[in-house]
Amino acid sequence: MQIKNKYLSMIYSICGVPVLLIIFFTIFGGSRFFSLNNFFNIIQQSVAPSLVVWGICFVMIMNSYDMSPGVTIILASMISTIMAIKYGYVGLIFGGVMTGMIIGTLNGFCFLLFKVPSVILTIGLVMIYEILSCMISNGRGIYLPDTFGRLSYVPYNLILWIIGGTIAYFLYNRTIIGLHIQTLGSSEKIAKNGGVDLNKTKFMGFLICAVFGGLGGVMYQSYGHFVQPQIGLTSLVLLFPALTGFFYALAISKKVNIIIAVAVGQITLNLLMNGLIIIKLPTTIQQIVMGGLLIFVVAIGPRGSNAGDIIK
Amino acid sequence: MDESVFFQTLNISKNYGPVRALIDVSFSLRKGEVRGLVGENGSGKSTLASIISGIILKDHGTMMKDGKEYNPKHIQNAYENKIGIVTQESGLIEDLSITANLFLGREKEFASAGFLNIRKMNEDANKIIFKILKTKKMLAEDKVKNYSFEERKIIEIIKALYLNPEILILDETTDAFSRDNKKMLWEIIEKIKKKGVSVLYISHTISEVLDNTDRITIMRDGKIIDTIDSHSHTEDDLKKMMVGRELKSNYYREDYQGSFNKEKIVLKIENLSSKNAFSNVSFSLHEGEILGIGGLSGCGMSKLGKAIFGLLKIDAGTIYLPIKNKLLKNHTPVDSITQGIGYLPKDRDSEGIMLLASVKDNINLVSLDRIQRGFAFINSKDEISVAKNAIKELQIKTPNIDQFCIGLSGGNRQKVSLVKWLVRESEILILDCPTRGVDVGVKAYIYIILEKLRLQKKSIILISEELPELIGMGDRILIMKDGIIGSKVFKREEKPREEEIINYMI
Repeated sequence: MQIKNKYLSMIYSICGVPVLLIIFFTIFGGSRFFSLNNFFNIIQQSVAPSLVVWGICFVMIMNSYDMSPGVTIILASMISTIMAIKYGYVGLIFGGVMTGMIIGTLNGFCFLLFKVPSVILTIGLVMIYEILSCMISNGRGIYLPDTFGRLSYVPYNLILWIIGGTIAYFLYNRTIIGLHIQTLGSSEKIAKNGGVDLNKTKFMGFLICAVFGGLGGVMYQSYGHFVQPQIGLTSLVLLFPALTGFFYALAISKKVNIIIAVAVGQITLNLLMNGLIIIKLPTTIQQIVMGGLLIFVVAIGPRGSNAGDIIK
Repeated sequence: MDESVFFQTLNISKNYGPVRALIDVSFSLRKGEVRGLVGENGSGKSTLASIISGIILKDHGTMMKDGKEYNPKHIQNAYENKIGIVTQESGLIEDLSITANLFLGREKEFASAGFLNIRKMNEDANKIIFKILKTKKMLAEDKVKNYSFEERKIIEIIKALYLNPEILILDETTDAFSRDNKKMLWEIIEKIKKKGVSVLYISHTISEVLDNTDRITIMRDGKIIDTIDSHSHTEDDLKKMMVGRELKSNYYREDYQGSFNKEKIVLKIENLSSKNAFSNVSFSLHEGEILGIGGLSGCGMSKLGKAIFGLLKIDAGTIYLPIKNKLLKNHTPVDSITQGIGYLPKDRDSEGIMLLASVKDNINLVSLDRIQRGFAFINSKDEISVAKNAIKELQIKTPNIDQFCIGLSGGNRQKVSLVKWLVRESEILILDCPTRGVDVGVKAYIYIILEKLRLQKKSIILISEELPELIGMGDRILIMKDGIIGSKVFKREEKPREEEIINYMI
C-alpha cells in the first residue's frame, strides 16, 4: 500500500502541473498547441537548459550559489564555435567542455582561496568573464556556420540530453563526490566529522556545474548559431530561467530524484512558455505567469520539502 | 602507570578566551571498563570527550593510548585509532539513506572507477544493522529522516560500533531514550565490554550511571573531582560531589495532599483527536494544579502538548477555558498566548529558544506587546529591565543580557526558555520534559520554580518521560499509551509507585 502511494505521489509530482497546463492550453490554444509535433518541439527545447540546470544542482545543493552559468554559456558558445571551425564537431564539443572546465576550476579555486560568500565571488567573476567574452569576440557577435547545426537535430540532441542526464544522475547518486555534495549541503559539520574533504567537494561542485554549463553553451550555440558578448552583468539574464528550472525541480524533488526533476521541470516550463506564446499573451504577462507558476509549485509542494528548506 | 590502563590523558587544558573549560585534567581508562562521566552543565565533560575524539584540539597536555602518544587532529584520526563517539547533536544527514550515513567517508571501499556499488553498500549496511540490533526494524535503504530522533541516535550508535572501536564515547546521547531502547543499549554495552571495549558514558541520569557503570568520574568547573567505584556510592554522594554542596536528597515537592483548587477548572479538554498523534483525549486542569502526563517516548503526549498550544492540527474535540468562557477552535500559538497559555517544547534548541539571538531578546519575545509603547515602538528601557529582572530571578548564568543564547550552557538555555513564560505571567503552562538534558543543580532549581508557580495558583501540564519527576511533582498523573490516555488517574495523596505506573505505560 505504502509503495503504491509512493508511486502515486511520484506520478502526481511529475505529471500534475504538465497535465493541467496541457488541458488549459488545449482548451485555449486548440490544435496549434495539442499536436505531437508541438510536444516534440517542447522536448527538444528542453535539452540545452536541462544541461545547465543539472550543473547548477551540484552547487546549489551544497548551499552555495554560482552566478556564472550565464556567462559560461556565452564563453563556451564562443570558444566552441572557434574550435569547431578549426576541428569540426570534436572541436565544438571539446571547446564547450574545456571552457566549462577552465571556468569551473577558476570558480572553485577562487572560492577556496578567498573564502568569500559564493554569490559575491561569482558575481565578481562574472564581470571578469564578461570582459573576457568581449576580448575574445572583439566586441562582435560570433556565428557558428550552418554546417554545424547537427547537434540541434533529432536524434543527436536527444542522445546528448539522455547522455547528459545519465552522467548527471550517476554523478549525483552513485559517486562519492555526489554523496559528499549532498552531505555538505545538509551539514558542513557532519560532513567534516564524517571524513569528507570539504575543499575538494566544494571545488568539484563548481567544476561539475561549469562543465555542464559549457555543454549547455554548445547546445545553445547549435540551436541559435549566434552568440554576442555581454557586459554589465547582462549575462545573468541567461541564468535566471535556469534558476527557475532549478527551484521547480527542487520543489518536486522530495518525490522524484532531482536530476529527473530537472528534466521534468524544464519540459513543464517550456510547456508553459509555448502555451503562452500560442495563446498570444504579451511577453510581460508571460513573465508574470512564469513567476506565478514557480511560487505556486513551491507552495503546493510537499511540506518540509527540500525546496521549503533551501528557498528561504 | 597501572598496567591495565590503556588510555590516559595527562594535564589536559582547554581555554575558550577567558573561560577555562578544562584545567589540568588527568584521566585514565582501563580495557573493558564502562566508565561513567558526570558533572553539571558546563563542568567540562563534553569538552573532554570532544578532545579525546578529535572534534576539538587541546591547548596543553598529552594523551596516551596503548602506551603510545595519541594526538588526534580531527575526528578521522580518532576513528583510525579505534575511538568512536556519539555526540549530543545529530551526526547524521537526514536526506541521505542510513547506508550513505553509515559509510560516510568510507565510500571508497565500495567504489570502482569512481562509481559506487549501492547494492553492495545496502547489503552490507543491512547486515551490520541486523548484527547489532538483531531485528529488521530498520532498513538501510531508508532515508534517515523517516526515523524518529531516538532511532537516529541508535543509527549513530550502530555507526560508531561498526568501526569496531576500542573506546566508545556516548555523550548524553541516551538521556531521552525509552526504557526498551535503554535496555537494548545496555545489553549491547555489556556485550562489547566482554570483548574488551571500554565505554565512556556521559549522562545526567545519575541512577542509570550508578547501576550500569564500573567506575564514575565526577567533573566540576573544568576539573576532575574524583573517580569512584559505582557500587559503593549513592545518588546523593554523586550529586554532592557534582555541585559541591549538599543537595536535598529529595528535591521534589514534600506535600502529599494534592492541594489544588478542585472546584476551579481552568482548562477543559474533551475528546481531542489529532490524526496519527492521539485520539479522544479528555481531562480537566484545575487552578494551582500540576497535572502530570507520562508515557513512553512516541506515545503521543508531546504532540498533545503541541496541539493544545496550537502547533498541531486538531481533527476533533474541544479545548475550553471555563474561566474566560473561551473555546479555542482552529487556534494558533498567538491565540493561546493571548489567552494566557505558555508552552515549553521538548526540543529546546530548535523550538524553544533562538540560539542566535540575545538572552534579552529571547526573554522578551512573547511579551513584546506588553512593553510596546505608542504605535509600534518597543521601549528599550523596559526591555532591558525585564530581561535583567528575569536573569536575576532565575539565576541565569550569562555574562550580559546581550549574550547570544548559543553561548550558554544547556541548563541556562533551559532557564531562558522557561522564564519568558514567567515574564508573560502565563496562567497555564504546558511543559514538555522541562528537565531533559539539564544537570541536577538546574533540575532542582526548575522544581523550585514549579512549586512556586503552583503556590501562585498557576496551572501546569507537566509532560515527562521521567516517572520520578511525575510522581515527585504531579498532583495527578495521567498515562498515555499509543495516543490514548488511560482511564486510571494516579493521585498524589495515594502516593503512587513507579512499578505500578509502568504497568500502564507498556
